[in-house]
Amino acid sequence: MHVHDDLLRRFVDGALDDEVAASVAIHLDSCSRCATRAATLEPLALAFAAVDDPIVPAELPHDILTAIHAPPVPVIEPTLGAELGLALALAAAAALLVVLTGDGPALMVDAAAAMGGASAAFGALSLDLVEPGAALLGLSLGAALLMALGATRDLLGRVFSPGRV
Amino acid sequence: MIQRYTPSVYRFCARMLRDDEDARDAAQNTLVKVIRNLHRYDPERKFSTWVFGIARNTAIDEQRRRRFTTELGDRDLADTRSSPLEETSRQERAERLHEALGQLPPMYREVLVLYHFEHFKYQEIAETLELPLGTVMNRIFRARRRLRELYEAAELPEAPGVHGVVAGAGG
Ligand SMILES: [Zn+2]
Repeated sequence: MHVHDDLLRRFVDGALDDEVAASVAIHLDSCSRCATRAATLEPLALAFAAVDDPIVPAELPHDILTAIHAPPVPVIEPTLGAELGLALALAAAAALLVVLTGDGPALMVDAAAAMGGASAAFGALSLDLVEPGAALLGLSLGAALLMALGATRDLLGRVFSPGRV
Repeated sequence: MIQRYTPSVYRFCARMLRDDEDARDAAQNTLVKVIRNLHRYDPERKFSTWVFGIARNTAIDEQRRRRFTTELGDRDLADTRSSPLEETSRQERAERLHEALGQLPPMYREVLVLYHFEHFKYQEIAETLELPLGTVMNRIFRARRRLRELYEAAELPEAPGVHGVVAGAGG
């Protein structure tokens, strides 16, 4: 039992209600003869037939395989060590900058260096870059480094400018 | 599996997105998702409708991510098998349809692409879109009606036969 011409024409024109259209569609899905008849009634059948397929890039299957086998992108979680290192590096960098560029009285330079180191450490802390424990430890280590740098600078000062007096 | 589905998924994405690069990305993302989510596939469902359901969602995501363009110029529509006279009208029809499809809302375009180009059955389209068949038929009817209007109204960039082939045919 096939779909008669009038019903098929109304189907192609979209003039059937949803339920009837669905039952015609079920028939067309399984009957190539009626499906072909419906296709010939479609006003744009020639236009659909005229459109060529997009050209599939030859390397696409290979690219897909590569993407599938690529290891998943690792999620970088900051470790305590990394945070500590960051805090220490910030404190040390600030201290070093002040010590190397400072040419004022040693006390002021040391004070400025300490403030620089502390502000760097607290800045890192306030930006949630480091945990409080790591910041505190970084600050302590930064202070120790500062003292060592201060001592080195004093020593260098005595070595290179002894005759200025 | 990759070899089998890449061409049809790419074609679908190219027709939906109308941009080669976007289509590549969408097709690649689709098949990566398919492979990585094979354990979620419900064997009750036809495999191709599951794949195209993912392709459709991926194409929609791609569309949202990048600006959707309806410009011509992404495909080579030349067909050297036809005679010159046939070629002219064939090209014109192809261009008109291409332009009309580009102006259709994506929800209409996808059902027509699946039916007329990928040769899905109506019930397979319903399964792909996870919609009742009656709803899908209603959408297809509306889509065809709108497409015919747009096809009639389609303006070609140049007089047919003078500049018939859509950009990309080699010059
Ligand atoms: Zn029949």
